[in-house]
Amino acid sequence: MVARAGLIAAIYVALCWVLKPISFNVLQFRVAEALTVLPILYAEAVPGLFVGALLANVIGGLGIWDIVLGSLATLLAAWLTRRYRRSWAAYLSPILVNAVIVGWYLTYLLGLPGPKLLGSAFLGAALAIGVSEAAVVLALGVPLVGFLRRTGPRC
Amino acid sequence: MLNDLTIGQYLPLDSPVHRLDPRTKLLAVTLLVALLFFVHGFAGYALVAAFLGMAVALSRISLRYLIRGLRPLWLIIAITLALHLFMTEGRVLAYLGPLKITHEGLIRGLLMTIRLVLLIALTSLLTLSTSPIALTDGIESLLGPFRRFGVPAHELAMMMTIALRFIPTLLEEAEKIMKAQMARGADFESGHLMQRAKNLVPLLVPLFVGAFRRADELATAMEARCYRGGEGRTKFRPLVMRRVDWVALGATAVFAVVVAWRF
Repeated sequence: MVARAGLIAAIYVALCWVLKPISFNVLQFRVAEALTVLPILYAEAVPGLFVGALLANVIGGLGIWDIVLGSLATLLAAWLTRRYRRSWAAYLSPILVNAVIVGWYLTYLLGLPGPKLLGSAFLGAALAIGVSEAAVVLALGVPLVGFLRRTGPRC
Repeated sequence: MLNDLTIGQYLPLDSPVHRLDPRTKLLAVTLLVALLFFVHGFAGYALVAAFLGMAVALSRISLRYLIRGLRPLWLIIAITLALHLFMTEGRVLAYLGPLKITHEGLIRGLLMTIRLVLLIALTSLLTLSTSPIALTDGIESLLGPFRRFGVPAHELAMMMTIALRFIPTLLEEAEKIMKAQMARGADFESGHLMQRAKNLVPLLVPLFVGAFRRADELATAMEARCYRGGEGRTKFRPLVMRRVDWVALGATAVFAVVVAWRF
């Protein structure tokens, strides 16, 4: 359990590294986020993803906010995915949680105009993150779960 | 492609900053980051920058490395500056086609950019001067008091250690799998975005299956050595807060309080 979670974290960081140039930007296509669907199949992916996001953000993120809040967002998303693993909402949780939380603190961190909750900058950032998350989760995460369900290691 | 790998950016030097307890450094960085959000104005940022500069000088890490840490983020920094420059209402300084640069925008943009650069530099100094293993130990120890609220401090630290150990292995494996799939006609480099994402499935599935096989082997090895969680486990190199740690932490705290109060 600890070992599997550790390895899942390692995959997350490794994927962030292999595809680094597009990983850490406002419009980030972090391919590793496709792994956020893993809790549907494996319970140990919940802490694994948290640790993975933590390490990846330590190595190449935007500093302490990314490390703390970004990883907690991943943890919350992963937990929700596990909780609703039997329904389509499982795929939705990483998209929504990251869009809202990461969008919020990026707006705040960069001091972008629009301090109100529904200010334009927040909406823009949330939308940008939501779209890139959705692209990765839908294009890569969904087929990944399909493959693993048929051929992957047992839980 | 994957050869330029140094995990984290740890620079193993011998300096007073390197020798500090990881907990001291983690807490000091947290304090200074919090301070950056209290301070508004160039004078406060200048003081924080001076404090950071002193720490960098003590750590014997050349400024080049800190600047290198900023490089991947220049786009975000530029976007931040531009957004403030053009989007803030106020006294107009200059026109750039349809866009106008305002006095207030210039000030705000510069302030936010400086804050962002300082934030990143602070975190970089932490990861440059502390090995990942020491960081994990520090986090485990700092999370210790939260254990009674059900935070699995030891397990999280163990996962981090395992992840750090296996990242290079998995990177090598990812490279092997990519080459093997390319030899079979896989294409990782063309097509539009969705297509490219889909093309990564033949990389992810074998990588994942391989990693799980390794995890199960590791679990067997750990159990064979009687691993049973953090209870009663001792350390080869226990963390010790020495006097210099308390002095450094105290100095940082005093500095943070004074600057937050005065600026």
